[in-house]
Amino acid sequence: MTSVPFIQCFHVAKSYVAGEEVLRDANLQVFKGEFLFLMGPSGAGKSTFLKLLLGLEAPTRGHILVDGRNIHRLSRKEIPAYRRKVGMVFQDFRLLNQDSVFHNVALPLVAAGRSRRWIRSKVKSLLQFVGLDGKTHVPCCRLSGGEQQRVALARAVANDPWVLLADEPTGNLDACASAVIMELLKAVHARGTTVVVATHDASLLEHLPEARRVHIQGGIFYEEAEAAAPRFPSAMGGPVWE
Amino acid sequence: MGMSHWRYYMARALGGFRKNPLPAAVSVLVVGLCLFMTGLCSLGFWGIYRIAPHLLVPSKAVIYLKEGVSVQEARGVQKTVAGWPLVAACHYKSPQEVLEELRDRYGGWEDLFQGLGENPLPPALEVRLQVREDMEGAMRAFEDKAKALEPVQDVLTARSWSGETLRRMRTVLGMGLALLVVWIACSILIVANTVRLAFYGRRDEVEVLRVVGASPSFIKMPFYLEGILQGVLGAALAASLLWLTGRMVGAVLPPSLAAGIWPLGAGAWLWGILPLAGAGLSWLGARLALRRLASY
Ligand SMILES: Nc1ncnc2c1ncn2[C@@H]1O[C@H](COP(=O)(O)OP(=O)(O)OP(=O)(O)O)[C@@H](O)[C@H]1O
Ligand SMILES: [Mg+2]
Repeated sequence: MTSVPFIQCFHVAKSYVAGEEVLRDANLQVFKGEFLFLMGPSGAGKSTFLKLLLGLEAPTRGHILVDGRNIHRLSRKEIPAYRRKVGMVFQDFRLLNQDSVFHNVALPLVAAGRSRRWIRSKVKSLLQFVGLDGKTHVPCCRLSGGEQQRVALARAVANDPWVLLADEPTGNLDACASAVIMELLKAVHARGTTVVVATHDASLLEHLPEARRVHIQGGIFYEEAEAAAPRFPSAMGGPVWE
Repeated sequence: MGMSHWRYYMARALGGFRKNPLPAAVSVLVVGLCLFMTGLCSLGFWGIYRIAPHLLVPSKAVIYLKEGVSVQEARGVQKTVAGWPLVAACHYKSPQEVLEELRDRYGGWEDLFQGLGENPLPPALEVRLQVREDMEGAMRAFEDKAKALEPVQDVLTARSWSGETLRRMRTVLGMGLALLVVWIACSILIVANTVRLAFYGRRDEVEVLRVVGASPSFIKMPFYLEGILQGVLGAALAASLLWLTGRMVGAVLPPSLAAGIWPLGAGAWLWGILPLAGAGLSWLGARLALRRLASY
Protein backbone atom coordinates (compact mmCIF):
# COMPACT_ATOMS: atom_id res chain seq x y z
CA MET A 1 0.00 0.00 0.00
CA THR A 2 1.33 3.41 -0.95
CA SER A 3 2.21 5.68 1.92
CA VAL A 4 2.23 8.90 -0.09
CA PRO A 5 -0.79 11.00 0.93
CA PHE A 6 -3.29 11.54 -1.86
CA ILE A 7 -4.14 15.12 -0.88
CA GLN A 8 -1.37 17.26 0.59
CA CYS A 9 -1.79 20.83 1.77
CA PHE A 10 1.26 22.80 2.77
CA HIS A 11 0.88 26.11 4.64
CA VAL A 12 -2.19 27.03 2.66
CA ALA A 13 -3.52 30.53 3.20
CA LYS A 14 -6.49 32.15 1.56
CA SER A 15 -7.88 35.63 1.89
CA TYR A 16 -10.67 37.11 -0.18
CA VAL A 17 -10.13 40.59 1.24
CA ALA A 18 -6.64 41.88 1.84
CA GLY A 19 -5.69 41.42 5.50
CA GLU A 20 -8.54 39.01 6.32
CA GLU A 21 -7.26 35.48 6.12
CA VAL A 22 -9.95 32.81 6.04
CA LEU A 23 -7.25 30.13 5.99
CA ARG A 24 -3.99 31.06 7.66
CA ASP A 25 -1.67 28.09 7.76
CA ALA A 26 -3.61 25.02 6.83
CA ASN A 27 -1.67 21.78 6.67
CA LEU A 28 -3.42 18.53 5.92
CA GLN A 29 -2.66 15.14 4.48
CA VAL A 30 -5.39 12.85 3.29
CA PHE A 31 -4.67 9.29 2.20
CA LYS A 32 -6.40 7.45 -0.55
CA GLY A 33 -9.62 5.84 0.62
CA GLU A 34 -10.00 7.91 3.76
CA PHE A 35 -13.31 9.25 5.07
CA LEU A 36 -12.73 12.62 6.64
CA PHE A 37 -15.05 14.98 8.48
CA LEU A 38 -13.99 18.61 8.27
CA MET A 39 -15.61 20.26 11.27
CA GLY A 40 -15.89 23.90 12.16
CA PRO A 41 -18.33 26.65 13.03
CA SER A 42 -20.00 28.76 10.40
CA GLY A 43 -17.56 31.04 8.65
CA ALA A 44 -14.56 28.96 9.65
CA GLY A 45 -13.54 28.41 6.03
CA LYS A 46 -14.78 24.89 5.26
CA SER A 47 -16.40 25.81 1.96
CA THR A 48 -13.39 27.91 1.09
CA PHE A 49 -11.10 24.92 1.58
CA LEU A 50 -13.27 22.67 -0.59
CA LYS A 51 -13.29 25.33 -3.32
CA LEU A 52 -9.51 25.39 -3.19
CA LEU A 53 -9.44 21.61 -3.56
CA LEU A 54 -11.71 21.81 -6.60
CA GLY A 55 -9.64 24.57 -8.16
CA LEU A 56 -12.52 27.04 -8.10
CA GLU A 57 -10.38 29.39 -6.04
CA ALA A 58 -6.62 29.77 -5.86
CA PRO A 59 -4.74 29.86 -2.54
CA THR A 60 -3.08 33.12 -1.59
CA ARG A 61 -0.09 31.19 -0.27
CA GLY A 62 0.99 27.58 0.02
CA HIS A 63 0.47 24.54 -2.15
CA ILE A 64 -2.17 21.90 -2.62
CA LEU A 65 -1.07 18.63 -4.20
CA VAL A 66 -3.57 16.05 -5.35
CA ASP A 67 -2.19 12.75 -6.59
CA GLY A 68 1.23 14.40 -6.61
CA ARG A 69 0.27 17.36 -8.77
CA ASN A 70 0.03 20.97 -7.70
CA ILE A 71 -3.53 21.69 -8.75
CA HIS A 72 -3.02 25.42 -9.03
CA ARG A 73 -0.31 24.89 -11.59
CA LEU A 74 -2.64 22.97 -13.87
CA SER A 75 -3.10 24.52 -17.29
CA ARG A 76 -6.48 25.79 -18.44
CA LYS A 77 -6.84 22.63 -20.48
CA GLU A 78 -6.05 20.30 -17.59
CA ILE A 79 -8.47 21.87 -15.12
CA PRO A 80 -11.72 20.42 -16.55
CA ALA A 81 -10.25 16.90 -16.61
CA TYR A 82 -9.08 17.36 -13.02
CA ARG A 83 -12.53 18.52 -11.90
CA ARG A 84 -14.05 15.39 -13.37
CA LYS A 85 -11.86 13.45 -10.96
CA VAL A 86 -13.14 15.45 -7.99
CA GLY A 87 -16.87 15.20 -7.36
CA MET A 88 -18.58 17.93 -5.36
CA VAL A 89 -21.88 18.03 -3.49
CA PHE A 90 -23.22 21.37 -2.24
CA GLN A 91 -25.50 22.25 0.61
CA ASP A 92 -27.86 24.00 -1.84
CA PHE A 93 -27.65 21.12 -4.36
CA ARG A 94 -26.90 23.38 -7.36
CA LEU A 95 -28.96 21.42 -9.83
CA LEU A 96 -30.39 22.69 -13.10
CA ASN A 97 -33.89 22.92 -11.70
CA GLN A 98 -35.84 23.06 -14.94
CA ASP A 99 -34.07 19.99 -16.28
CA SER A 100 -34.88 16.38 -15.63
CA VAL A 101 -33.11 14.15 -13.17
CA PHE A 102 -31.62 12.30 -16.12
CA HIS A 103 -30.20 15.45 -17.67
CA ASN A 104 -28.63 16.60 -14.41
CA VAL A 105 -26.89 13.32 -13.76
CA ALA A 106 -25.84 13.00 -17.39
CA LEU A 107 -24.28 16.46 -17.49
CA PRO A 108 -20.77 15.51 -16.30
CA LEU A 109 -20.83 12.53 -18.66
CA VAL A 110 -21.83 14.66 -21.64
CA ALA A 111 -19.13 17.16 -20.68
CA ALA A 112 -16.65 14.28 -20.56
CA GLY A 113 -17.61 13.34 -24.11
CA ARG A 114 -19.15 9.95 -23.37
CA SER A 115 -21.30 8.24 -25.97
CA ARG A 116 -25.09 8.37 -25.67
CA ARG A 117 -25.39 4.67 -25.05
CA TRP A 118 -22.75 4.76 -22.38
CA ILE A 119 -24.44 7.74 -20.73
CA ARG A 120 -27.83 6.06 -20.72
CA SER A 121 -26.66 2.91 -19.02
CA LYS A 122 -24.41 4.77 -16.59
CA VAL A 123 -27.16 7.18 -15.53
CA LYS A 124 -29.49 4.26 -15.07
CA SER A 125 -27.14 2.50 -12.68
CA LEU A 126 -26.35 5.75 -10.86
CA LEU A 127 -30.05 6.45 -10.31
CA GLN A 128 -30.56 2.91 -9.09
CA PHE A 129 -27.71 3.46 -6.67
CA VAL A 130 -29.30 6.57 -5.16
CA GLY A 131 -32.80 5.06 -5.38
CA LEU A 132 -34.26 7.48 -7.89
CA ASP A 133 -34.66 5.24 -10.92
CA GLY A 134 -38.41 5.84 -10.72
CA LYS A 135 -38.02 9.59 -11.26
CA THR A 136 -35.66 9.64 -14.21
CA HIS A 137 -37.65 12.16 -16.24
CA VAL A 138 -39.02 14.33 -13.47
CA PRO A 139 -37.74 17.94 -13.45
CA CYS A 140 -35.54 18.52 -10.42
CA CYS A 141 -37.66 21.41 -9.15
CA ARG A 142 -40.42 18.90 -8.42
CA LEU A 143 -38.27 16.74 -6.13
CA SER A 144 -38.03 16.92 -2.36
CA GLY A 145 -34.85 18.29 -0.80
CA GLY A 146 -33.59 14.82 0.06
CA GLU A 147 -34.22 13.62 -3.47
CA GLN A 148 -32.49 16.65 -4.94
CA GLN A 149 -29.44 15.98 -2.81
CA ARG A 150 -29.41 12.38 -4.04
CA VAL A 151 -29.46 13.66 -7.62
CA ALA A 152 -26.55 15.95 -6.75
CA LEU A 153 -24.69 12.99 -5.25
CA ALA A 154 -25.29 10.84 -8.32
CA ARG A 155 -23.99 13.70 -10.47
CA ALA A 156 -20.91 14.10 -8.28
CA VAL A 157 -19.88 10.46 -8.64
CA ALA A 158 -20.91 10.09 -12.29
CA ASN A 159 -17.35 10.19 -13.60
CA ASP A 160 -16.05 7.81 -10.89
CA PRO A 161 -14.01 10.50 -9.14
CA TRP A 162 -10.97 9.86 -6.99
CA VAL A 163 -12.34 12.19 -4.35
CA LEU A 164 -15.84 13.18 -3.31
CA LEU A 165 -16.16 16.54 -1.60
CA ALA A 166 -19.42 17.18 0.25
CA ASP A 167 -20.09 20.67 1.60
CA GLU A 168 -22.78 20.45 4.30
CA PRO A 169 -24.52 17.73 2.28
CA THR A 170 -27.27 17.42 4.88
CA GLY A 171 -27.52 21.09 5.82
CA ASN A 172 -30.96 21.51 4.29
CA LEU A 173 -32.34 18.06 5.15
CA ASP A 174 -34.21 16.50 8.06
CA ALA A 175 -32.73 13.68 10.12
CA CYS A 176 -34.23 10.94 7.99
CA ALA A 177 -33.09 12.34 4.66
CA SER A 178 -29.70 13.08 6.21
CA ALA A 179 -29.33 9.45 7.22
CA VAL A 180 -30.04 8.36 3.64
CA ILE A 181 -27.37 10.73 2.29
CA MET A 182 -24.85 9.54 4.90
CA GLU A 183 -25.50 5.91 3.97
CA LEU A 184 -24.87 6.78 0.32
CA LEU A 185 -21.66 8.59 1.20
CA LYS A 186 -20.55 5.52 3.11
CA ALA A 187 -21.34 3.35 0.11
CA VAL A 188 -19.27 5.61 -2.13
CA HIS A 189 -16.45 5.42 0.41
CA ALA A 190 -16.72 1.65 0.65
CA ARG A 191 -15.95 1.43 -3.03
CA GLY A 192 -12.57 3.08 -2.43
CA THR A 193 -13.34 6.72 -3.10
CA THR A 194 -11.78 9.27 -0.79
CA VAL A 195 -14.56 11.27 0.87
CA VAL A 196 -14.30 14.66 2.58
CA VAL A 197 -17.44 15.92 4.32
CA ALA A 198 -17.47 19.50 5.59
CA THR A 199 -20.05 20.09 8.30
CA HIS A 200 -20.77 21.95 11.51
CA ASP A 201 -23.29 19.28 12.50
CA ALA A 202 -21.70 16.99 15.09
CA SER A 203 -24.62 14.56 14.89
CA LEU A 204 -23.40 13.42 11.48
CA LEU A 205 -20.39 11.85 13.17
CA GLU A 206 -22.64 9.21 14.67
CA HIS A 207 -23.18 7.74 11.26
CA LEU A 208 -19.51 6.99 10.92
CA PRO A 209 -17.81 7.10 14.31
CA GLU A 210 -14.60 5.60 13.02
CA ALA A 211 -14.06 8.36 10.43
CA ARG A 212 -11.20 10.79 10.76
CA ARG A 213 -12.11 14.23 12.14
CA VAL A 214 -10.30 17.44 11.42
CA HIS A 215 -11.33 20.72 12.99
CA ILE A 216 -10.76 24.05 11.37
CA GLN A 217 -10.39 27.07 13.60
CA GLY A 218 -8.69 30.38 13.06
CA GLY A 219 -7.62 29.25 9.65
CA ILE A 220 -5.69 26.26 10.98
CA PHE A 221 -6.50 22.54 10.92
CA TYR A 222 -6.50 20.51 14.15
CA GLU A 223 -6.64 16.75 14.22
CA GLU A 224 -9.10 15.26 16.71
CA ALA A 225 -7.73 12.37 18.73
CA GLU A 226 -8.99 9.67 16.46
CA ALA A 227 -10.51 6.37 17.14
CA ALA A 228 -8.36 3.68 15.61
CA ALA A 229 -9.87 4.11 12.21
CA PRO A 230 -9.18 1.78 9.34
CA ARG A 231 -7.69 4.31 6.94
CA PHE A 232 -7.56 1.92 4.08
CA PRO A 233 -10.79 0.03 3.72
CA SER A 234 -10.29 -3.07 1.68
CA ALA A 235 -11.27 -2.69 -1.93
CA MET A 236 -14.72 -4.04 -2.54
CA GLY A 237 -14.65 -4.99 -6.17
CA GLY A 238 -16.18 -2.53 -8.60
CA PRO A 239 -18.39 0.45 -7.90
CA VAL A 240 -21.41 -0.32 -5.80
CA TRP A 241 -23.77 1.01 -8.43
CA GLU A 242 -22.61 -1.28 -11.16
CA MET B 1 -18.34 11.47 -28.74
CA GLY B 2 -19.58 14.27 -30.96
CA MET B 3 -23.20 13.28 -31.26
CA SER B 4 -24.39 13.73 -27.69
CA HIS B 5 -22.41 16.99 -27.52
CA TRP B 6 -24.22 18.52 -30.43
CA ARG B 7 -27.63 17.43 -29.27
CA TYR B 8 -26.84 19.03 -25.95
CA TYR B 9 -25.59 22.27 -27.52
CA MET B 10 -28.63 22.54 -29.75
CA ALA B 11 -31.07 21.86 -26.93
CA ARG B 12 -29.37 24.49 -24.78
CA ALA B 13 -29.29 27.07 -27.56
CA LEU B 14 -32.98 26.59 -28.33
CA GLY B 15 -33.76 26.73 -24.63
CA GLY B 16 -31.94 30.05 -24.42
CA PHE B 17 -34.04 31.34 -27.26
CA ARG B 18 -37.20 30.38 -25.45
CA LYS B 19 -36.04 31.87 -22.17
CA ASN B 20 -35.19 35.30 -23.57
CA PRO B 21 -37.36 35.76 -26.65
CA LEU B 22 -37.35 39.56 -26.71
CA PRO B 23 -33.61 40.31 -27.01
CA ALA B 24 -33.32 37.42 -29.44
CA ALA B 25 -36.15 38.83 -31.57
CA VAL B 26 -34.52 42.26 -31.57
CA SER B 27 -31.23 40.90 -32.79
CA VAL B 28 -32.94 38.79 -35.43
CA LEU B 29 -34.67 41.96 -36.63
CA VAL B 30 -31.48 44.03 -36.71
CA VAL B 31 -29.49 41.34 -38.50
CA GLY B 32 -32.38 40.88 -40.92
CA LEU B 33 -32.58 44.59 -41.74
CA CYS B 34 -28.82 44.76 -42.12
CA LEU B 35 -28.78 41.93 -44.60
CA PHE B 36 -31.80 43.38 -46.40
CA MET B 37 -29.93 46.66 -46.86
CA THR B 38 -26.88 44.76 -48.01
CA GLY B 39 -29.04 42.96 -50.53
CA LEU B 40 -30.57 46.18 -51.87
CA CYS B 41 -27.16 47.83 -52.15
CA SER B 42 -25.67 44.87 -53.97
CA LEU B 43 -28.64 44.85 -56.33
CA GLY B 44 -28.04 48.54 -56.98
CA PHE B 45 -24.40 47.88 -57.81
CA TRP B 46 -25.36 44.93 -59.96
CA GLY B 47 -27.93 46.93 -61.91
CA ILE B 48 -25.56 49.81 -62.51
CA TYR B 49 -22.84 47.46 -63.58
CA ARG B 50 -25.14 45.75 -66.03
CA ILE B 51 -26.26 48.98 -67.61
CA ALA B 52 -23.02 50.96 -67.52
CA PRO B 53 -19.90 49.13 -66.46
CA HIS B 54 -17.71 52.14 -67.17
CA LEU B 55 -19.56 53.98 -64.39
CA LEU B 56 -18.14 51.70 -61.77
CA VAL B 57 -14.91 50.96 -63.59
CA PRO B 58 -13.80 54.31 -64.97
CA SER B 59 -10.94 52.73 -66.87
CA LYS B 60 -13.37 50.99 -69.25
CA ALA B 61 -14.20 52.51 -72.62
CA VAL B 62 -15.82 51.43 -75.88
CA ILE B 63 -14.97 52.45 -79.45
CA TYR B 64 -17.82 51.96 -81.95
CA LEU B 65 -16.67 51.64 -85.56
CA LYS B 66 -18.45 52.94 -88.62
CA GLU B 67 -20.91 50.78 -90.50
CA GLY B 68 -19.36 48.75 -93.26
CA VAL B 69 -15.92 48.69 -91.69
CA SER B 70 -14.28 45.42 -92.62
CA VAL B 71 -12.89 43.06 -90.07
CA GLN B 72 -9.42 43.74 -91.37
CA GLU B 73 -9.80 47.47 -90.92
CA ALA B 74 -11.18 46.91 -87.45
CA ARG B 75 -8.19 44.76 -86.56
CA GLY B 76 -5.98 47.52 -87.81
CA VAL B 77 -7.60 50.06 -85.52
CA GLN B 78 -7.36 47.62 -82.64
CA LYS B 79 -3.59 47.27 -83.16
CA THR B 80 -3.13 51.02 -83.36
CA VAL B 81 -5.16 51.71 -80.22
CA ALA B 82 -3.49 48.91 -78.29
CA GLY B 83 -0.18 50.58 -79.02
CA TRP B 84 -1.08 53.87 -77.31
CA PRO B 85 0.55 54.48 -73.94
CA LEU B 86 -2.84 55.37 -72.41
CA VAL B 87 -4.27 51.97 -73.20
CA ALA B 88 -3.82 48.86 -71.09
CA ALA B 89 -5.75 46.49 -73.36
CA CYS B 90 -7.94 46.56 -76.42
CA HIS B 91 -10.20 43.78 -77.67
CA TYR B 92 -12.10 43.43 -80.89
CA LYS B 93 -15.80 42.59 -80.75
CA SER B 94 -17.77 41.51 -83.78
CA PRO B 95 -21.28 42.97 -84.40
CA GLN B 96 -22.68 39.65 -83.26
CA GLU B 97 -20.86 39.87 -79.94
CA VAL B 98 -21.91 43.49 -79.48
CA LEU B 99 -25.54 42.57 -80.04
CA GLU B 100 -25.37 39.67 -77.65
CA GLU B 101 -23.80 41.81 -75.02
CA LEU B 102 -26.44 44.47 -75.42
CA ARG B 103 -29.16 41.88 -75.16
CA ASP B 104 -27.57 40.53 -72.07
CA ARG B 105 -27.00 43.95 -70.57
CA TYR B 106 -30.49 45.23 -71.23
CA GLY B 107 -32.08 41.90 -70.53
CA GLY B 108 -35.81 42.26 -70.73
CA TRP B 109 -35.76 44.70 -73.61
CA GLU B 110 -35.87 41.84 -76.08
CA ASP B 111 -38.68 43.61 -77.92
CA LEU B 112 -36.21 46.28 -78.89
CA PHE B 113 -34.05 43.82 -80.74
CA GLN B 114 -36.81 42.00 -82.44
CA GLY B 115 -37.66 42.63 -86.06
CA LEU B 116 -34.27 44.06 -86.69
CA GLY B 117 -33.63 41.46 -89.31
CA GLU B 118 -29.97 41.86 -90.10
CA ASN B 119 -27.70 42.92 -87.29
CA PRO B 120 -27.44 46.70 -87.71
CA LEU B 121 -24.74 47.17 -85.16
CA PRO B 122 -21.20 48.21 -86.00
CA PRO B 123 -18.24 46.23 -84.72
CA ALA B 124 -16.69 47.64 -81.59
CA LEU B 125 -13.45 47.72 -79.64
CA GLU B 126 -13.47 47.24 -75.92
CA VAL B 127 -10.72 49.24 -74.29
CA ARG B 128 -9.21 49.24 -70.85
CA LEU B 129 -7.40 52.47 -70.05
CA GLN B 130 -4.46 52.66 -67.71
CA VAL B 131 -5.41 54.00 -64.32
CA ARG B 132 -3.61 57.23 -63.52
CA GLU B 133 -3.90 60.33 -61.41
CA ASP B 134 -5.70 62.51 -63.93
CA MET B 135 -8.24 59.99 -65.21
CA GLU B 136 -10.49 62.77 -66.51
CA GLY B 137 -7.68 64.19 -68.63
CA ALA B 138 -6.67 60.75 -69.77
CA MET B 139 -10.20 59.97 -70.91
CA ARG B 140 -10.45 63.24 -72.81
CA ALA B 141 -7.13 62.68 -74.52
CA PHE B 142 -8.18 59.14 -75.38
CA GLU B 143 -11.51 60.29 -76.85
CA ASP B 144 -9.91 62.97 -79.01
CA LYS B 145 -7.26 60.62 -80.26
CA ALA B 146 -9.72 57.81 -81.02
CA LYS B 147 -12.24 60.06 -82.74
CA ALA B 148 -9.51 61.28 -85.04
CA LEU B 149 -9.14 57.78 -86.47
CA GLU B 150 -10.95 57.34 -89.77
CA PRO B 151 -13.09 54.18 -89.16
CA VAL B 152 -14.25 55.35 -85.72
CA GLN B 153 -17.91 56.31 -85.36
CA ASP B 154 -18.14 57.07 -81.65
CA VAL B 155 -16.22 56.75 -78.40
CA LEU B 156 -17.82 56.07 -75.03
CA THR B 157 -16.03 56.59 -71.71
CA ALA B 158 -17.13 57.42 -68.21
CA ARG B 159 -16.73 61.04 -69.35
CA SER B 160 -19.66 60.56 -71.67
CA TRP B 161 -21.81 61.01 -68.61
CA SER B 162 -21.66 64.52 -67.29
CA GLY B 163 -19.15 64.91 -64.49
CA GLU B 164 -21.93 66.08 -62.21
CA THR B 165 -24.07 62.96 -62.70
CA LEU B 166 -21.06 60.77 -62.19
CA ARG B 167 -20.05 62.51 -59.00
CA ARG B 168 -23.56 62.29 -57.61
CA MET B 169 -23.82 58.59 -58.36
CA ARG B 170 -20.47 57.94 -56.75
CA THR B 171 -21.56 59.90 -53.67
CA VAL B 172 -24.72 57.83 -53.38
CA LEU B 173 -22.76 54.62 -53.76
CA GLY B 174 -20.23 55.78 -51.18
CA MET B 175 -22.94 56.70 -48.71
CA GLY B 176 -24.61 53.36 -49.29
CA LEU B 177 -21.35 51.62 -48.52
CA ALA B 178 -20.76 53.69 -45.38
CA LEU B 179 -24.30 52.99 -44.19
CA LEU B 180 -23.70 49.33 -44.81
CA VAL B 181 -20.58 49.32 -42.67
CA VAL B 182 -22.52 51.00 -39.85
CA TRP B 183 -25.33 48.47 -40.19
CA ILE B 184 -22.93 45.56 -40.09
CA ALA B 185 -21.22 46.93 -37.00
CA CYS B 186 -24.61 47.43 -35.34
CA SER B 187 -25.67 43.87 -36.10
CA ILE B 188 -22.49 42.46 -34.63
CA LEU B 189 -22.83 44.56 -31.49
CA ILE B 190 -26.50 43.69 -31.00
CA VAL B 191 -25.83 39.97 -31.34
CA ALA B 192 -22.90 40.33 -28.95
CA ASN B 193 -25.14 42.06 -26.45
CA THR B 194 -27.87 39.45 -26.72
CA VAL B 195 -25.40 36.63 -26.24
CA ARG B 196 -23.87 38.41 -23.25
CA LEU B 197 -27.33 38.82 -21.72
CA ALA B 198 -28.05 35.13 -22.25
CA PHE B 199 -24.74 34.27 -20.62
CA TYR B 200 -25.40 36.38 -17.53
CA GLY B 201 -28.95 35.05 -17.38
CA ARG B 202 -27.50 31.57 -17.01
CA ARG B 203 -24.63 32.24 -14.65
CA ASP B 204 -25.81 29.52 -12.27
CA GLU B 205 -25.82 26.97 -15.01
CA VAL B 206 -22.33 28.00 -16.11
CA GLU B 207 -21.16 27.64 -12.53
CA VAL B 208 -22.58 24.10 -12.39
CA LEU B 209 -20.84 23.27 -15.66
CA ARG B 210 -17.51 24.50 -14.31
CA VAL B 211 -17.93 22.36 -11.20
CA VAL B 212 -18.67 19.17 -13.12
CA GLY B 213 -15.57 19.67 -15.25
CA ALA B 214 -16.92 21.02 -18.52
CA SER B 215 -14.30 22.60 -20.76
CA PRO B 216 -14.59 26.30 -21.67
CA SER B 217 -15.49 25.44 -25.24
CA PHE B 218 -18.22 23.09 -24.02
CA ILE B 219 -19.62 25.90 -21.89
CA LYS B 220 -19.46 28.48 -24.66
CA MET B 221 -20.73 26.45 -27.57
CA PRO B 222 -24.48 26.69 -26.82
CA PHE B 223 -24.11 30.48 -26.62
CA TYR B 224 -22.32 30.53 -29.97
CA LEU B 225 -25.09 28.46 -31.46
CA GLU B 226 -27.70 30.75 -30.00
CA GLY B 227 -26.02 33.74 -31.64
CA ILE B 228 -25.63 31.97 -34.97
CA LEU B 229 -29.27 30.93 -34.87
CA GLN B 230 -30.20 34.60 -34.54
CA GLY B 231 -28.04 35.40 -37.55
CA VAL B 232 -29.56 32.67 -39.70
CA LEU B 233 -33.10 33.67 -38.74
CA GLY B 234 -32.21 37.28 -39.53
CA ALA B 235 -30.94 36.15 -42.92
CA ALA B 236 -34.18 34.29 -43.56
CA LEU B 237 -36.04 37.48 -42.72
CA ALA B 238 -33.85 39.48 -45.11
CA ALA B 239 -34.28 36.90 -47.86
CA SER B 240 -38.05 37.01 -47.47
CA LEU B 241 -38.04 40.82 -47.57
CA LEU B 242 -35.87 40.84 -50.69
CA TRP B 243 -38.06 38.25 -52.31
CA LEU B 244 -41.16 40.31 -51.50
CA THR B 245 -39.53 43.47 -52.87
CA GLY B 246 -38.76 41.52 -56.02
CA ARG B 247 -42.39 40.47 -56.29
CA MET B 248 -43.48 44.09 -55.95
CA VAL B 249 -41.02 45.22 -58.59
CA GLY B 250 -42.37 42.44 -60.76
CA ALA B 251 -45.91 43.66 -60.24
CA VAL B 252 -45.10 47.22 -61.26
CA LEU B 253 -42.76 46.67 -64.21
CA PRO B 254 -43.35 44.48 -67.25
CA PRO B 255 -42.21 40.96 -66.33
CA SER B 256 -39.37 40.75 -68.81
CA LEU B 257 -37.89 44.02 -67.61
CA ALA B 258 -38.38 43.12 -63.97
CA ALA B 259 -36.48 39.88 -64.51
CA GLY B 260 -33.69 41.96 -66.01
CA ILE B 261 -33.14 44.33 -63.11
CA TRP B 262 -34.24 41.91 -60.36
CA PRO B 263 -32.45 38.61 -60.77
CA LEU B 264 -33.68 37.17 -57.53
CA GLY B 265 -36.13 34.46 -58.38
CA ALA B 266 -35.06 32.13 -55.66
CA GLY B 267 -31.40 31.83 -56.47
CA ALA B 268 -28.64 30.36 -54.40
CA TRP B 269 -27.69 33.95 -53.75
CA LEU B 270 -30.84 34.63 -51.79
CA TRP B 271 -31.27 31.41 -49.87
CA GLY B 272 -27.66 30.26 -49.70
CA ILE B 273 -25.24 33.12 -49.41
CA LEU B 274 -27.45 35.34 -47.27
CA PRO B 275 -27.81 32.79 -44.43
CA LEU B 276 -24.08 32.22 -44.58
CA ALA B 277 -23.50 35.94 -44.25
CA GLY B 278 -25.94 36.04 -41.34
CA ALA B 279 -24.18 33.17 -39.62
CA GLY B 280 -20.84 34.88 -40.15
CA LEU B 281 -22.02 38.18 -38.71
CA SER B 282 -23.55 36.60 -35.65
CA TRP B 283 -20.57 34.35 -35.10
CA LEU B 284 -18.44 37.49 -34.89
CA GLY B 285 -20.93 38.96 -32.42
CA ALA B 286 -20.94 35.87 -30.23
CA ARG B 287 -17.17 35.75 -30.29
CA LEU B 288 -17.02 39.36 -29.18
CA ALA B 289 -19.37 38.59 -26.28
CA LEU B 290 -17.73 35.38 -25.12
CA ARG B 291 -14.09 36.28 -25.55
CA ARG B 292 -13.59 37.35 -21.98
CA LEU B 293 -16.42 35.44 -20.32
CA ALA B 294 -16.33 31.94 -18.91
CA SER B 295 -12.88 32.53 -17.45
CA TYR B 296 -11.42 29.64 -15.60
N1 LIG C 1 -16.26 34.94 -2.42
C1 LIG C 1 -16.01 35.48 -1.22
N2 LIG C 1 -15.64 36.77 -1.14
C2 LIG C 1 -15.36 37.32 0.05
N3 LIG C 1 -15.43 36.68 1.20
C3 LIG C 1 -15.78 35.38 1.19
C4 LIG C 1 -16.09 34.72 -0.02
N4 LIG C 1 -16.42 33.44 0.24
C5 LIG C 1 -16.31 33.31 1.58
N5 LIG C 1 -15.93 34.47 2.16
C6 LIG C 1 -15.70 34.68 3.59
O1 LIG C 1 -14.83 33.69 4.03
C7 LIG C 1 -15.20 33.26 5.32
C8 LIG C 1 -15.32 31.75 5.30
O2 LIG C 1 -16.39 31.39 4.45
P1 LIG C 1 -16.76 29.88 4.18
O3 LIG C 1 -17.92 29.87 3.27
O4 LIG C 1 -15.54 29.16 3.72
O5 LIG C 1 -17.16 29.38 5.63
P2 LIG C 1 -17.83 27.98 6.04
O6 LIG C 1 -16.93 27.37 7.04
O7 LIG C 1 -18.16 27.18 4.85
O8 LIG C 1 -19.16 28.48 6.73
P3 LIG C 1 -20.62 27.80 6.71
O9 LIG C 1 -20.58 26.69 7.69
O10 LIG C 1 -21.52 28.89 7.16
O11 LIG C 1 -20.87 27.35 5.32
C9 LIG C 1 -16.49 33.95 5.68
O12 LIG C 1 -16.18 34.98 6.57
C10 LIG C 1 -16.97 34.52 4.38
O13 LIG C 1 -17.57 35.77 4.60
MG1 LIG D 1 -19.93 26.62 3.86
